[in-house]
Amino acid sequence: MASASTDAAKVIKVTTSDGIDITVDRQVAERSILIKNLLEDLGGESTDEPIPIPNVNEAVMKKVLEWCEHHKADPPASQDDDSDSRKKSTDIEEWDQKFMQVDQEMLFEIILAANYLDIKALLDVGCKTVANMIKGKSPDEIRKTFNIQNDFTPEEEDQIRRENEWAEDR
Amino acid sequence: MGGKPPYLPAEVISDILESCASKTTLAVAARCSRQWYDIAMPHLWHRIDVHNPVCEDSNEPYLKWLAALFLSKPAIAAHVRHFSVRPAFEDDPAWEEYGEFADIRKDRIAARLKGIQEAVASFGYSDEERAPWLEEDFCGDTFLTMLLPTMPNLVSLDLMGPQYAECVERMLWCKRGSAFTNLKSVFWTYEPFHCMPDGAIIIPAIFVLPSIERIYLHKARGGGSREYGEEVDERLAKVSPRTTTCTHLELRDCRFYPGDVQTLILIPKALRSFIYEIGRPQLYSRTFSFPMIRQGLEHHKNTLEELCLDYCHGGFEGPESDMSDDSSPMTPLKTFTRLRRLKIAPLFILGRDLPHKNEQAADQSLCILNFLPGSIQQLQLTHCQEPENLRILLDVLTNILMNKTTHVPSLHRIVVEIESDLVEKLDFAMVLRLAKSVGTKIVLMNIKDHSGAYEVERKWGFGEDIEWRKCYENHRPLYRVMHA
Repeated sequence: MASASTDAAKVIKVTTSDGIDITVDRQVAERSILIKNLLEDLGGESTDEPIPIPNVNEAVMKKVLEWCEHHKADPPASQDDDSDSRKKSTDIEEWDQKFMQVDQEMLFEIILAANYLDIKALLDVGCKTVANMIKGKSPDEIRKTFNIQNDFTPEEEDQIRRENEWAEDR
Repeated sequence: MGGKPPYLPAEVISDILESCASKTTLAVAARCSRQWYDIAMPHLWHRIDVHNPVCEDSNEPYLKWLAALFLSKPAIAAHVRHFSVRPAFEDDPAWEEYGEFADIRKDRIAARLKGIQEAVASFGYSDEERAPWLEEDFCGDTFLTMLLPTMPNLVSLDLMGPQYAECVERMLWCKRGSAFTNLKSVFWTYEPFHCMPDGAIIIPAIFVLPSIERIYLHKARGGGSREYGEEVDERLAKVSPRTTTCTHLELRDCRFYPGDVQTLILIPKALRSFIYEIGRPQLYSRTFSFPMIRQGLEHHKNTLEELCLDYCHGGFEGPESDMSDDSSPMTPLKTFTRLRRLKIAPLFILGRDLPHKNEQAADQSLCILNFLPGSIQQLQLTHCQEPENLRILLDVLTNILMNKTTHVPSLHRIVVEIESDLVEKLDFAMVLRLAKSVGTKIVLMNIKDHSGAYEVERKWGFGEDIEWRKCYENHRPLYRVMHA
């Protein structure tokens, strides 16, 4: 039977940007390299002090932790996982596809949280989801999706279209 | 939730665009705003693949257009890291789209030709050197010559070249000190020209590129073919031995004379990986020398980590040797203290058509054991289905395994390439038990595809895990693991 102190080391608390404390298994939380490094800096000992996560609110944090819980046993990313072909692949696991079926604002918030918390695999899934989402869209549609202000003149935009024409898929 | 989407920092937008498999999407993204242009352009132009139908002047519209663009917009050219020029194959969609595509760009190309000519004139070569480039009748070689130096950050170059890329060669020699400082990998294969001698003449200048690390040659040959009355080609001899930074040299289905192969092996300062696979034409013409290859390798005995000596699938089905080749056995690799991975056809160790062919199988199997350096970790024996190899196979494996402790203590994996039918006829049970008892894994690889339907494009590198674009006659049945 595990001792009380060992049990304590298995869970940690995080405080979200809206001041909510969330208790989570340490193994799950350590999918985040940011949290993992913070815990290691504390000497690997248990702490009752919640770890502040000032850039992520409760709703997004819970969603991120749901993903971490599902992927807690995944092997760490290997060197091959950074390959060009893997990044270009639009394949997304079925569970992840369903997980990412959220409104666009939440999707972007998850990506931002994954970037901040340094969860490469989640960032990857989020980016692939958005990449699939913008496929086949016009510049105007992409601008609307990302709230981009068009600062090109029509002539400039046309010139860019022409100079990139060859590089497009044929 | 609802309302405006949150602001995404540039690094996240870059991650999203990096995940885009579609270049069309990237091109559209580049038109969204100045910030998105700056983020999308490096991804859009990161890899350029020119692949067009095989027909006369097929690649030229693309190359002309690119040359014009890159000469006028160096910032775009600076994004290119990987550049590949190949004709498309008949099953490629580009084959059908070519005609329409060429028409669309015809006017623009014509308008830019003048600019290209002016740019060429500023290259600073002599009038004599400039003259062929200023002619109306450009050829693909000329456009490559203009195009390649415009890409200062090029890391890998993959060309299916013409028989002799004369202008490219001159350009590489001239610019080898000032351009291509990031170019680490060159893959050069041959564009069929329906004339003899077959194969593209090697451009020795690729060996003296300042940062070159990996060279892959497919269907290349030296100049000066004696059978076809060509003049003696001394370009290879001009490259001094032990001068290049290349550490990986791969020659597959090349048609070099033995002296040329030895010269090529001697050019690198320190090879870590050497792969030599004799193709069918060379098997028939018998222009190889095992001892000369071995002599060349001797200069890399302190650095070589991976060595592959093999010949094509199907092997020696041609006539018996007329002794114009030298397929006498190679001397052992005992002194190759860093060699970890060896893939070899027993032929290179035992020789062919020589008096010792009739030696006892036991002696021959010892030859193979004694050939191996003590550092070896992985051994792959190819062409084990050939009768002369098959009769000694079990003895070879038994000898290696029984002497593992004293001869090859680090050997943990042996791969045997053989036909599945033959495995059933041999009694592998004892060898497999012995392997298990000494901690070595034996993998039996079936080289015969019974379906008869599949021939796959082969990859490159020692582990055949490096993918270059499709080449001519670079396929074989899919080898499958039978026992691991």
